[in-house]
Amino acid sequence: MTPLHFTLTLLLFAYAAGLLGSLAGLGGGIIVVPALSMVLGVDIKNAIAASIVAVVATSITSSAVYVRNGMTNLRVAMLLELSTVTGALCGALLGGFIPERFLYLVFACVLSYAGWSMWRRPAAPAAGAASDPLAERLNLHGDYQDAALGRRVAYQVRRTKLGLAVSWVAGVISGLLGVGGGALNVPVMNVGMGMPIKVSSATSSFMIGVTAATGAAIYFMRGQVLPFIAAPVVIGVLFGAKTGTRLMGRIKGQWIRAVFMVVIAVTVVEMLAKGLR
Amino acid sequence: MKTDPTPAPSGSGKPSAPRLEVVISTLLRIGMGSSFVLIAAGTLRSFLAGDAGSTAEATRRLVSPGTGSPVAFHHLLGALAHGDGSAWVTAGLFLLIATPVLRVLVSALVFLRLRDRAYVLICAVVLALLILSFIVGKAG
Repeated sequence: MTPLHFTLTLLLFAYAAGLLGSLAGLGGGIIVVPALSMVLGVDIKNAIAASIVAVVATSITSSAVYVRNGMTNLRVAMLLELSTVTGALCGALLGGFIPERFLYLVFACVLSYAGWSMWRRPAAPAAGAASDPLAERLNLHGDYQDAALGRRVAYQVRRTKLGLAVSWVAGVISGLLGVGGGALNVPVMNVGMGMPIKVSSATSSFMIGVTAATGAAIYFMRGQVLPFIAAPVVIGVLFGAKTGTRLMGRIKGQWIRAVFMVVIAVTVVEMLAKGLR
Repeated sequence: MKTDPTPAPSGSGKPSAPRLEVVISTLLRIGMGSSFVLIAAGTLRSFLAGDAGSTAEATRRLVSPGTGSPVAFHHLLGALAHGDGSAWVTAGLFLLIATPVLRVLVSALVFLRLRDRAYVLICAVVLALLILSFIVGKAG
């Protein structure tokens, strides 16, 4: 494969990953890493490094829109970032020492969890939880304009400590595996902390920029972000995500889920095979 | 529902001094736009100038782990000026990673103006951790 050929192949893979990721509501990272490491034979650490930079890019692009629309709860984001950034720092440092086969195994577990969480029906937000003094003191409650309902919806934030704990785990996974961690952030904000799903997604995508930047900074300064790999991955994922957003309304949800499940199932089996070999 | 008179966290439409939402959104757009241009232009440049080479051996060299040694910044500046495509890409990637860091810095400044001490502190700690991760990565 010549460099040009390789770059175009990467662009294509990254585009598909960005497209599928945004349709499935997960970042591109969870598809980019296996595509690079298993299909194209890139070293998994360089695949993770390129992916985490692409995750920064998609987060910045999508959250710029959500923030302007007032969908993001900035205070919740800044607070939980304390946890995700600490976690990402731990995860990225850990990634420097962990043997490759172990990375494949952890990735297979996280991927299985993501698949499972897409499969089951989303849990309803727990209503009527005890009021949270921490949320009161930090002024976390918010409101947003719901386009579907045509009015402003106010909400109370609960279980702030649970949110902080789960965010730390999301951060570790992000730093270790080069993914955003949205598969953990969104449910904990929505189901655990009682924030509306749209606000949870917008806030998660905003936090992911900073979370991923932590891991990206470490990989970048270590010299593991290879420009020749990262450039087409960033560009491809960005355009893929853009197409995905545009297609979102036109494709049936079941189809997206079915395709995604197949991709996840195949990837998990392959990763387990690599990790257990 | 709001019990607190301080500016709402999620754009209540009140004319609170500097609208944090607009400031952040603009910053993110500028950061993303400029890094995208650098990355795309740098990639094109390396192919047009023939830096990337055109053999399978060249590909193996470009993707082999450990070749992307961290670029010393004074070298990077020189390479940028010389029109080295991969230096443009590296600068673009750096700018991309730095954009969320700037976002935290700007948020801290806005919270400082709003006299919201708790969030100035939170942003300052996040900022410190982000800077730490650059230093830790450099150290190995």
